[in-house]
Amino acid sequence: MEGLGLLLIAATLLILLLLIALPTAFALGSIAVIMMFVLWGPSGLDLCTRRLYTMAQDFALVSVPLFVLMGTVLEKSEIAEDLYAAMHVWSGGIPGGLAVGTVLICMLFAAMTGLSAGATVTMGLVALPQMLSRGYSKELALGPIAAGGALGVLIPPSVTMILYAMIAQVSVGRVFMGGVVPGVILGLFFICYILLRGFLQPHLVPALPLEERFGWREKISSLKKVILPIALIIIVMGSIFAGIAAPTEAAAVGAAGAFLCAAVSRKFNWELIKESSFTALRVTSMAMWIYLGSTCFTTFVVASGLSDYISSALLQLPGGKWGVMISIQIVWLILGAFIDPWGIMMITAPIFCPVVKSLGFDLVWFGVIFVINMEMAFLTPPFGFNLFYLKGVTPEDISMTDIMRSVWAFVGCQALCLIVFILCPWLVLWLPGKMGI
Amino acid sequence: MELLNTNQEEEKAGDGFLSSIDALNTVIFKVGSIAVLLIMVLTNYEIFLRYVLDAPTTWSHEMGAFLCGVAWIFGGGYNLIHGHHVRMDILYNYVSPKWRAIFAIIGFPFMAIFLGVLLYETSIGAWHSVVIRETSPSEWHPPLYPIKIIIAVGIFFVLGQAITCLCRDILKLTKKGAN
Repeated sequence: MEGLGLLLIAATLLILLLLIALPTAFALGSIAVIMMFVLWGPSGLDLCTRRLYTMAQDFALVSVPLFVLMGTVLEKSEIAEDLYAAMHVWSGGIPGGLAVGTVLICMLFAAMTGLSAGATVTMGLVALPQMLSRGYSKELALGPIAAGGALGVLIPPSVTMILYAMIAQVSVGRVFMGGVVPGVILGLFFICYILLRGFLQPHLVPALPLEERFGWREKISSLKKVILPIALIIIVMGSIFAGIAAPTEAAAVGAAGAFLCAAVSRKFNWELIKESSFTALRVTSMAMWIYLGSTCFTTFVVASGLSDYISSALLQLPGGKWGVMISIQIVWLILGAFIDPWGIMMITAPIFCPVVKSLGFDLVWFGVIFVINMEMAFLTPPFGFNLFYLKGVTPEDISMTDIMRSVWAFVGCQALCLIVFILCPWLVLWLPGKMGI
Repeated sequence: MELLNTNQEEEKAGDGFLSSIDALNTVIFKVGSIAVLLIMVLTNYEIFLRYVLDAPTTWSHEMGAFLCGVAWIFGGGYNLIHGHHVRMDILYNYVSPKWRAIFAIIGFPFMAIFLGVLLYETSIGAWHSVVIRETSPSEWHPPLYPIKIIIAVGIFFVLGQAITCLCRDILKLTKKGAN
């Protein structure tokens, strides 16, 4: 009974504070501090500071600013424009080719950055006007951009995954590698869907007219500019996969390599250095403050016995371990419509992970499943982030309703993907299993 | 008339003071972003030493973590100014600036409690650390008290920025009321 009372108080307070738009970090932190004070008096409060000191000495967390730096530098050195130009030359000739290419670029972009905003905004600026001017329907021009952009959190590197690995106490590299196969398969789902629509309704996604198609010479030469960034991705991810470098080291090499790429394409200047390091620190500070607030919150939840209360309630659900897993997915889906993915993860992962582990599920797989689930949160109205990012850069005549309507088929692909990977954990765990240690 | 003038001047003076705190935290943020570049150079240097010269340092990883930690703590203030902290915007996006200010004022005591506790505890931690001349248990065992002092100062700056934002929200509301 005491557990229920505590849960009700903490949950109500949390919902109220989040509703009045208090930053998630401070909402979680203040509830933790208040509840700890009420339960145990002032003696327990230094736990928060201890967590802060641990964070300031954790080398794995240093990968966050470095991965963000790498992604931002590549983004700002107009890699996307070069990729788009190459894609235009290669896949423009088939119905739906430009949309397929957009998804492919988003996948490559996802392998450079750990966030979803960059690809969505960039492709919204670069690819959308092209597709619309070639007679693509709004639906099939907008959908691939919003959906492809969300791949950024699933295909490594991913800031969300780094934070998950910290909370679940699993290896960052293994969670990264776990995201590769689902990311690629989800991308392929999108591509298949677009090609199918292109096959059935070619007038919605017209191929480039014959006189605008290119020969092999142009095709090969268009690749020149994109080889370097792709090589960089392979080096960074490959060294993590081979176990040669810790993620932080790989990220540092990636960031330096990104500056090199920028220098080669003559985009290296003071503005680039300044803007990208600002972005890196801004995002890192956002992520770490939430992480700090949530670790304080977790300390309270665990020490007060609240997590035991919730996990025993979870274990009483009908349907055994799969009943628990399905309930967790439903909880995430509902929360995903209201709270941002970082907040959801930081609140729920510390409670769910021990339960899931005790049921015999793999925590690396669980983290990847979380991220796949969150893919949908990026696209589903009313509060899908990518919808808003995209709205921010689209021309006037495209309404929010157009954007929302365009994503449903892609949300369907994501849901299908979620079910597939829940049923086949080996698909997720195959690549991490091959890693060198 | 005179009364009104002084009032306006006070408000201006207040605003000038608030702006200077904003400016201070912005400068700190810009300096902090240099830390990110430093970490990149430092880690690459370490990789070079380790894999090429086979002579790794004992200090670079810990140094990188300290730099990163200090940078993101101080960065919290800048993110407050620009509203970059992640928050749930279900209501926030749909209410008037007046209600946003009211939300922020209601939320402030909670933010202040968290930051206040952190400031108190980190100050005590820093003090103890200075008294015992604490060093890190790592191989490098650097003195930890400078870091702990800087962390406490960082929390102080974030709290200061939170108070500044509160003042600005109150000013906004009273101005609205006066008009």
